[in-house]
Amino acid sequence: MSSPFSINGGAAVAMVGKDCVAIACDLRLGLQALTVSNNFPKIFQYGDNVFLGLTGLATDVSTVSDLFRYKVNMYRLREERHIAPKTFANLVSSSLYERRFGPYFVSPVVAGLEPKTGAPFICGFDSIGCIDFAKDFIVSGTASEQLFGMCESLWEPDMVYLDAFFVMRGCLLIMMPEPRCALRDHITGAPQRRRPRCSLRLGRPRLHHREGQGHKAVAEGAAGLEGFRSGGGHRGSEGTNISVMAERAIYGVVTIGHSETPWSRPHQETSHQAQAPWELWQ
Amino acid sequence: MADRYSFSLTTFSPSGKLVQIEYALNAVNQGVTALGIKATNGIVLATEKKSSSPLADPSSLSKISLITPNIGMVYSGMGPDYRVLVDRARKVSHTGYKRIYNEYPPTRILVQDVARVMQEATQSGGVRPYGVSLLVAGWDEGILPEDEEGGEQKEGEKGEEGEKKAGGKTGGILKGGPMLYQVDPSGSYFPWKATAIGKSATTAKTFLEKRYTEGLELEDAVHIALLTLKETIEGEMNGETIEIGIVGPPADHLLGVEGVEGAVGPRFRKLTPQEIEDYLTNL
Amino acid sequence: MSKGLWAPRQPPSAWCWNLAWQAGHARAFRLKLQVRVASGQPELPPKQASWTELAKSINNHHPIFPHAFNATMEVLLGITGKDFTLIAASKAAMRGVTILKASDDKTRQLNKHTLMAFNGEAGDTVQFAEYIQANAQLYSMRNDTDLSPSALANFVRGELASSLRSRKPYNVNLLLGGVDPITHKPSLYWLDYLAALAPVPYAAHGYAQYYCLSILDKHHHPDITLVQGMKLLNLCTDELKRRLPIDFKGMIVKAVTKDGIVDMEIDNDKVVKCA
Repeated sequence: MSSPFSINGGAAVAMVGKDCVAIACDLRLGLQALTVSNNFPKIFQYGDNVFLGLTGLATDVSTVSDLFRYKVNMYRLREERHIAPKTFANLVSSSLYERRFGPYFVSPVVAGLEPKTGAPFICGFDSIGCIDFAKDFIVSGTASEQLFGMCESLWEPDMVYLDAFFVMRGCLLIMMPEPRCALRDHITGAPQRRRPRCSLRLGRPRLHHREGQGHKAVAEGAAGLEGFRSGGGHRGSEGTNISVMAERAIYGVVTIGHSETPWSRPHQETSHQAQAPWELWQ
Repeated sequence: MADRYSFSLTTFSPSGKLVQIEYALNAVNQGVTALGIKATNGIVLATEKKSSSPLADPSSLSKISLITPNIGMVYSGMGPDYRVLVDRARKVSHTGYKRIYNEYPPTRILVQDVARVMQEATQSGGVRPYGVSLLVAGWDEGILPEDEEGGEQKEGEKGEEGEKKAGGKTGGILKGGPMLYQVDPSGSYFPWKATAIGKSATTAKTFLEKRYTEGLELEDAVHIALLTLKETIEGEMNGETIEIGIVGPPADHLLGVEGVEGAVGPRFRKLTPQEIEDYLTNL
Repeated sequence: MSKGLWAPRQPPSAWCWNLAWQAGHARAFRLKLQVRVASGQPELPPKQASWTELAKSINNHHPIFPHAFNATMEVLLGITGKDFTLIAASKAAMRGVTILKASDDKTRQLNKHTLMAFNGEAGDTVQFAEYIQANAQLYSMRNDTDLSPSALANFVRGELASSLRSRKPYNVNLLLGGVDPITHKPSLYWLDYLAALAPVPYAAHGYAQYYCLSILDKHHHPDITLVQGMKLLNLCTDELKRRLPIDFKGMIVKAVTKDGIVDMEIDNDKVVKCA
């Protein structure tokens, strides 16, 4: 209960598909059972095709993500190139081990595509930088057991990227509460480990990374994924965010699941309250 | 008191020169000639091994050094200063790179690190500049896909891809391939296709300008290196008196292990006296 | 006292500072006593107790909450609306179950458009807040321009985060509200003593979180006016008066708008009946 790793809560998952990777996290920031914010992203981008997921103590999520922003910016200026996922993973490892006797309370996950071959790369770490290389999936955070279960049952080798998208969606939905339950876990008694909202990124190597066609790809991707939209969320920070990374660029943000706060929901009556909260302001 | 007041010995003259650095360059220009030639598939570094006495054992003398498995170095100037720089280069390639990223530094990064060491000696208190110029040769892995060389630079130039040069890899952090740098006592550094440093640098460079062609293969480069050396050398040329280092294909026989999957041998290696003799007989 | 920027409403007078200093020492002395009693030995506590150990020992006393200061009865509230950010703080200065002062102002103005409210350990709070205030004002003096609320929030986070891994961290929870001087967009930042930073539409600290957040979840809307914001704030304070076991002596309410920071009238004497 008092472990720094579980004070704020949060989960992240990364998985490999055929020539693609996906990484996802929830967006909740909590204090034990209390939800403080539903817009606290835990995935950070450090290059064309490098993503870092950070779960654990929220303050360290910010500190560590800022630290790597600094380190990767310095790397880019020094070497005049983007950092490769494998190189970045080793940087994460050595940076965390530097704090061996006063660690950051985070469990990082790295996902990306190797720039030279386009091969998918994922790995996880413990808080002092021991790397866990994986060919299939990596989970981390307070819902890691649940994510392990979902991944073990849903993951299969060589998923094309839309399949991977589906599987990731399944993994994320397990973390989300029932649509009609109240908004704060402490009121509903919803299990603490159900994380309301998530964000996901999916990567695939470039097909047409050439002039002009990137935008086309983005448009196609967003349109193709429109079918997965299942909730009423309409803002980037609402519902479950799924950013699809393909063509070594972010395809677009797709929102699935339910919106969380009343003001992101279109005017509607809730079952237990005859008077809609909006009428207060009429 | 010495540690309290420590002034740099390299100070500006009224005319705006740093004469200590010019003196250091004089020391370099009295040194034994060393040269480097970049080919499409590798690099050759060559120099003469001069012993002061016929009693000296030349096999113990070594002027070309391996820094990382893919990077080697040769010098002209003061031997002891060079040894210090080799030590620093080997050390910084680990502390500043291998231990952080678990891979060896690209050539330019290592060159910058060594150049920084040399520059600091021109601005720090109580030290003198290093009396050497270096030739650093290395192979970069690159990060661009093999089939899309120059993709970053050639953006918007689609359709002209058929005009790619044969051999393709011309070095650098992005594309990968061979790189050859010269580092001077001031800490400045330059990339070269082919160059020479030391006593007969001017003669050697003139010769290289005549013999160098684009699309050179490593074997030809070794040949040209020996011909250039022959122009400037004072003593006899044989496997004992000539030293050659090459950056070429991975030398898996130097790994020391067999059957390890994914293990790649060093690209930098020094030619044995026997190999040099073989080249010389074909000259 | 003038309400100008360079004359903050509560200047750190020698008296205030002395009190803060004494409070800090009193805490150190109390810690020493506790250790002595616990170990039964007249030894001093280890010089460096890491903050995790501290957090752990505190957690042992509060198994439900991560830290004692999550469970403070000092109330901090923040609400953003269409063109304003409301910050409210309870007026009671407490020490244990004793109320030392009933007109405490737990806020500091950082610049024309940014206000910070704080609670936590006595001494740490004012010390840290005025340190931040001084730095924000120094920046404004040097650069002839104010830092934006988001820049300040991240500055505060940086200071709190480095303090967290120092020998003696600050135990301060903060709400930072402001209106961007250029875009006029209102913003509110929630920071806890661990330096976790979250931008939020509405926020609370202490026990108030458990009562107010669900009310705000239900009734808040990003487009509300200042009048509606005050109405919403009253819903919260009414609930606090109804449910909190202590009298927090009413609230000080301030609104940040594009024209600066204004004190808001609130009826603290309103009696709220509890069924």
